[in-house]
Amino acid sequence: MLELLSEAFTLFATIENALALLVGVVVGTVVGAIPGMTTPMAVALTLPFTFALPPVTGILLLLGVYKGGIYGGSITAILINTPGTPAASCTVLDGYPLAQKGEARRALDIALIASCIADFISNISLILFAGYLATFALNFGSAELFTLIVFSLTIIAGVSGNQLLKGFGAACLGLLLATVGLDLIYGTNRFVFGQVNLMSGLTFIPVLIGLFAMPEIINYFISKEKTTAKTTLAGKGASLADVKSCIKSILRGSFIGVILGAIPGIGGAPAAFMSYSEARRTSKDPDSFGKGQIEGVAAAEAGNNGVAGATMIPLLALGIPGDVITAIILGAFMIHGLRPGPLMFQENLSLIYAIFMGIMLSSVYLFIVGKLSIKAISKIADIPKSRLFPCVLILCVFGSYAVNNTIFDVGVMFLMGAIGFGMLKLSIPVAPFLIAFILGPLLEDNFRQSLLISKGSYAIFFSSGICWFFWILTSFSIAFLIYQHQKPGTPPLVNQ
Amino acid sequence: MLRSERTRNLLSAAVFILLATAIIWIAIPYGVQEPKKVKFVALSPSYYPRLVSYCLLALGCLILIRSLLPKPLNPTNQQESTSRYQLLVPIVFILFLLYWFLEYLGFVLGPILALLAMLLLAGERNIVAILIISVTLPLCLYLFFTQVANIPIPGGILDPLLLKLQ
Repeated sequence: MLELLSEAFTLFATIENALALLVGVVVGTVVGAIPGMTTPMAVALTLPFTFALPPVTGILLLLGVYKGGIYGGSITAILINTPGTPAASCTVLDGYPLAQKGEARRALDIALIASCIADFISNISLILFAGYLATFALNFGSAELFTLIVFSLTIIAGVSGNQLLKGFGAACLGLLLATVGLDLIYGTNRFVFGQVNLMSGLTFIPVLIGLFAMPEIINYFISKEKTTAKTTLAGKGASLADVKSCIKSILRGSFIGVILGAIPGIGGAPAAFMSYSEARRTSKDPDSFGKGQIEGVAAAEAGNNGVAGATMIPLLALGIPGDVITAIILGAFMIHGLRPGPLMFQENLSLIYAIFMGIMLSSVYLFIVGKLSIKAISKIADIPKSRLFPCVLILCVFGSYAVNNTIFDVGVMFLMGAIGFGMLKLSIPVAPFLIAFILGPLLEDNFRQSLLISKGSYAIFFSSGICWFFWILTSFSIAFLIYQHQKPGTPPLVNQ
Repeated sequence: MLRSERTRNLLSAAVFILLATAIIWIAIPYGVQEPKKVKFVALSPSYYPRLVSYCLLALGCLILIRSLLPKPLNPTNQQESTSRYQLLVPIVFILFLLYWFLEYLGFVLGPILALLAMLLLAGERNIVAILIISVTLPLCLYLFFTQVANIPIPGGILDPLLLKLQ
């Protein structure tokens, strides 16, 4: 064990890793603070820059962007009433009224402290639980894996917002797109139509960048309304008394975030709202919530950030992404020749421990970056979009090309951008499309392998207790999401 | 354009149904190469995409039925048109030109020209900023990928010049 830890420490303790994580947190915080730029978009655009890096460094860079992005979303939520990320929409409720009262600095300080504590608790839970879950998952055969992936695909319902049917439709499109290339069993061509570039299937990064970055760019150009709100920092920072008064809500919110984050598809926004409503319910002065109550900011941010580490539990232990960003990180693992899941805990445990060490450091970085650079970051958030979006377009071109060194991928990215834009205009969510595209080959592979074992009998999918467990979980998950979807007046479970 | 939720739903349903039908009856028969002998139907390379396409078709029909059913109007879903769709033409034109001439112009000159055009189209009027951004960003990205990440990026017609720079 000690040998393993020292090996992991050697893997982790390099200047490159420390720097990559810091750069990631800064980039994430800046991007998260810019309304219109999303965290998935930031992670997607950072991905090509990790090609030349060792796996641990690359993954840490992306994790830094992820964690920074979640916190960054709260900056503009508090300062200009515009959440940088959907998960920060709850922070607006009390953050902006505080800024209007001239207490922006206090709100930002509490948001940062709550974010860091929640992030730390979330990371600890990841370290404690991922290993156990992976050990359990070692017993899985192809049928169990198939049912697990079917269950994880119910996260599509979670990322579809109030467009459940369209979300499932988009997922079908993603599954179909994933079938392009050589057949997994017979090696024959599928939807290749003589195009050599399609024989190995569509590359993940151009599809990802096309779906997440291009539609936002095009939408900016054709949009008549251009936001010009300027950020202003005012007031004094949070006092020790503020922290003391909020600590209960922060801890409660952190655990809510951890529990909801570990369930695929729930995401930061519902966790933030649940934590907020719990803080309000248990408060001595519930009427002050929504009017600039500092505890409201703390609860929302704790719930939101408590999710970040926990979403990595199903990713690392089972190879199943908990949300869109972890789906992108799963793609990053694959690009670096790694496959998260129970086998990784057997074969690459030192690498996992190295990532855990980096994740713990990210909480510290988040605090330092938030504390020292809040003024500068809030200014960067004012960069004119007329300069920002054309630059992002060029980043997309370089990023798409760099994967396989082929201009064909740039074309794929543009095409996916057009499809993504069409989906945006038709209110078809793109996140289910991407998640299905990533999980598609795994789903099909295990589906067909199971049938090969059972000689074509579907009974194999109901042959073990684990299969039944996942079928029941899937049914509950779908029933719950349909109930949420149909219930009037309830905010949909929307992920980032 | 695309003001009501119903129009968007109808269009989405049409897209799903058309795509599913095209995949089932055109793309699969012509685009999926079947092996001579398949052990079970479910193992055939076309089985899984066909299954997913049928699900897509069913979903398209469900959306169509739902959008045809009378439903009380939700004022929040009646969006005012705030988009300038005519701008799509120059955007597509610029992106098409960039893609088409990317190999010839290379990843420095091509993006410089595209960035110039896109900055102007985005409404940026500060000429100095336009020039600085257009030149420095593609050049920095080119140098990063070729020098730091060791990824060969084509310089196109500027290759001789860029090689001297490295």
